[in-house]
Amino acid sequence: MKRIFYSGFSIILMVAFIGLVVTGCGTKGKEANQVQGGSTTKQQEQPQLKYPEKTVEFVVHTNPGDGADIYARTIAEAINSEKLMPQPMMVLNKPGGSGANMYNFVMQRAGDPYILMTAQANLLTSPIKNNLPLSYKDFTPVARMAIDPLVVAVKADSKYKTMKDLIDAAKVAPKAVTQAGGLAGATEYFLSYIIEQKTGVVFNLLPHRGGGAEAVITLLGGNADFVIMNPSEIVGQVEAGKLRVIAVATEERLPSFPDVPTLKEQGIDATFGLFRGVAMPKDVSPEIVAYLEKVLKQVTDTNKWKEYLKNNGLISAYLPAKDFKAYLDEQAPIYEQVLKTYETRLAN
Amino acid sequence: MRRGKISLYSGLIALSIYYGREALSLGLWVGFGPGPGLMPLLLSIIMFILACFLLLSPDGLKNTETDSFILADGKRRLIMVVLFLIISTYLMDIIGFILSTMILTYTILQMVEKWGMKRSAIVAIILPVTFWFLFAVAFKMQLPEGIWF
Amino acid sequence: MDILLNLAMGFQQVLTPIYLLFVLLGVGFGLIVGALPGLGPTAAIAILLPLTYKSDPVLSMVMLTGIYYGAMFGGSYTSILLNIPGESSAVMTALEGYQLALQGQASKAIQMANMSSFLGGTISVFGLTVAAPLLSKAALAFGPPEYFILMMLGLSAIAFVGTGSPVKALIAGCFGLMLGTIGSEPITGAQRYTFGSYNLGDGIPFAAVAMGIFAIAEVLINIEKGLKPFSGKTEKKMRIQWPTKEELKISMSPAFQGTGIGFVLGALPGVGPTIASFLSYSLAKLQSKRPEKWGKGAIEGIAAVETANNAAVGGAMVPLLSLGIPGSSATAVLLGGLLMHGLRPGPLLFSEHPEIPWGVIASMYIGNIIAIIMGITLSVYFIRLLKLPPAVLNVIIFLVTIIGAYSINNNVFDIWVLLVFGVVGYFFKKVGIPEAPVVLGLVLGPLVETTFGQSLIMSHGSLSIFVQRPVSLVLLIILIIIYLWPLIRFSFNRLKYSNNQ
Repeated sequence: MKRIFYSGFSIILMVAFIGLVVTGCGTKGKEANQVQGGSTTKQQEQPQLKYPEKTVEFVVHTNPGDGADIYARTIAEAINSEKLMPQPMMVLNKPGGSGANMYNFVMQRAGDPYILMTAQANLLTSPIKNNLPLSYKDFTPVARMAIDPLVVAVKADSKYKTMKDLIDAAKVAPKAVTQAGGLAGATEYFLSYIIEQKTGVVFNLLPHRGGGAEAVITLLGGNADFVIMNPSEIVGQVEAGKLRVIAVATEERLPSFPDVPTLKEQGIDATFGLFRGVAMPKDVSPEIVAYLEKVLKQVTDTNKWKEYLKNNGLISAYLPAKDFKAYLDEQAPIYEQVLKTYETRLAN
Repeated sequence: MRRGKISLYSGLIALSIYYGREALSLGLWVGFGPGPGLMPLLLSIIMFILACFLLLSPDGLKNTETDSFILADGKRRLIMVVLFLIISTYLMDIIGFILSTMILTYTILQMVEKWGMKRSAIVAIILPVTFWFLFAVAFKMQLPEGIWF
Repeated sequence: MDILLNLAMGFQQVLTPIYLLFVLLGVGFGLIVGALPGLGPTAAIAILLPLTYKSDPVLSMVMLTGIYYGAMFGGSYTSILLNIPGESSAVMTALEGYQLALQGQASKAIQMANMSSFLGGTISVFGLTVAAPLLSKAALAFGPPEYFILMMLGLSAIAFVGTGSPVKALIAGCFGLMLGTIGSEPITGAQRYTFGSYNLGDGIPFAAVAMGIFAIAEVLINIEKGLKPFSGKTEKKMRIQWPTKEELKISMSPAFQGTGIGFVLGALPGVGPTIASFLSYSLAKLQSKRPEKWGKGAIEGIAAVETANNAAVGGAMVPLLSLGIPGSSATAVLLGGLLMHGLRPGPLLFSEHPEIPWGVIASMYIGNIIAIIMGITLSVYFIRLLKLPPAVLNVIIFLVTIIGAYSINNNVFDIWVLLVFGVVGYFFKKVGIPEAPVVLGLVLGPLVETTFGQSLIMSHGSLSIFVQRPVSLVLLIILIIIYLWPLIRFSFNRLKYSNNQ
């Protein structure tokens, strides 16, 4: 009796696992079908360029489920389901070393046209923060896809109603107002740094190992005064009435917070947002970059992408390879300057 | 055994001194409170005291295990295994997971455990391939890739 | 009443074939992946996360949660059988369980772990059902000063894990704390002890150190001795052994205490199962009537640890389900699963979509039952591992730990870390320095340092912050009592002795 019971269970388990493997293979099979569907239409358009002939890998510098990972998966999913390329795109995670692990991996693949990677603010900050022997110039920019805006948020019952309240409170004494954020050098401090420069106040910075989520908990618990975050990280709390956004750091008001004035409207001349783009290894032929740039442009027209932008509060900001490169050249010194002054800033 | 313990404790003392010296250069105090070097400095002092205590007290050097520090006949086996592990890890990125673990399995079985060549070869093929299928194919995990897979 | 209605709705949803299948899949996958060293719950969820991209959000949440507690169940098996703790919360299980396995009682230890996991898991789901909103409010009252004292409490476990000389346990703990300082300093971002390698920028990966210092070191010693590894005495008959009545009796109070500790600490963001298991272990040892047996195969130790780390799963779901904020790395990945479906996390997500939290809660009740049945069934097969020729078992351990280390960051560097700490662990074992405090220090050290720095930032450098806040004051008093406990007991005994005179 006991034996039957056990073997019954092991059979169920086996079946379950075969099922698991089959579903896994099933999705793969679907992708293969899509490939055939797409190849006929695409290759006629571009007879001279034999690319891609195999799966294109999109490398991400974070774990699955992270913001950058979802961004990459959305692009891959849009390309695969809309058959924008004759071959499927696959997401590959190389987390660790705050991006360094991925940069090193991609740098070793110089000239490989089948590797794409996420190009975000991390690409400009990580080499400086971690003293890496590389910079954004070691990669080929392909396209900028979107800008992730930054907003200033306080607890819903906070006494700070506008940016002016916050700055006035901060002017009373240095470090009178506390900002919760991620680890030292995280991008959310960039905007507060710029605000400090423009207004002459000094904020008390409270870093967290767990990043934004932990900072939000600290804010909700009343242990900090404000946070600077991407809308996606706090929009749920704002809708529930736990947090309140007092300013957005964009040129124009955000569609997700139409009632919240920009920093500029409140008299602080600061705009700052984090870019999300795509890059490739060095020495990839310009034709391939041009091809991928076009594919990514098509991605921005898909519903999947638009839905993603809406859900995460991103601003569509497509730039082709050349302009993206110019954009990086323009942004790099700003990032560098902020990071360089950051350490002395914390030490005081 | 006694000599082995003395060298290990001395090693720990040396580690604590190096560690403490680095800590001093990191800065002990910044504006608001403890700097990056404070905790390392405290730890190195504690480590130094503890290791000295073990080195100087008769208790610390007393035999706790019956065997000697490194068994004479086991020494060769041990060094070989560590060497094979180092070699296969070095090869991991160059020739990929399957080949390097095949080499590891074969060398351990054949040269350390003195198995027959045929038997070692069979296990050295089955194990890595099974693991590769389980992890890379079924679980879709990434494994080191080289010229092969 | 609301709760009952909602729960009934959840059960109605989950008790359909497709949901049951997904729970089964998730738990089974979690059990097996969790049993593999190096692959904790976070990694297990992350592996399957991309596959759920296309399915229904509730279904995928149910399955991913199943992986979470399934992995917690499975985490104890390799700790007991092979002395490989795959995650920090299973370190203490390895401490007692492996000793039992060496005495030929592996099956008994595994059944104890199964039953404790089930108990902790089920009670904490019940707690999640009735007390989530209350507890989430309490969790927000915990700021950096409270966390700092909690971490210091966790560190006190160093004194309780060693069997031999306390000085050696302290050395091990100190070594672990030193390892924890490697990487970029959390407050100022300064790089410490990285030797210019970017691989060390995020710190030394805990799992690689634990696998090296526990498993690789053990295998190296066995190879050197030419011993049959991992089988002091293997059972002749591979059948299930159950703990005896007396063993169950002495495990009762550690188990319930562990459940409570695990659930409450699990609900605190950033604390999680590790500290819960350390604290539960130390507290149970403190109260034990036979402390001399601990560290040499005390089965009630397994009960204390496994209830705590499984109850922490239910606790960790509290901030996720009631606040919409992940409190641990595993729940952060779970939340990522929701984000992939375009859902916005936040308190409203769960009042607008009540089918998600209640479906998940209902599935956890059922999943725990599935997990214990599967766990008992699978344990028979897991124990067969010990019947393999020792040489093959050694190789299997090498391969599994290599894969586990590589999977941390998909980087060969972590395999090197594994090997280095295998050799370090070998020497430590030779000298009799215990390995558990190393892991404890490595896990808690960075947290202690961060929370201390955060507290001082909040108070602008004044230490009075630790006594001004009521919660932290209470914790501080507990901390002082625990640290002075040996002294208190000593003087108490002296007093009794002189009274008897």
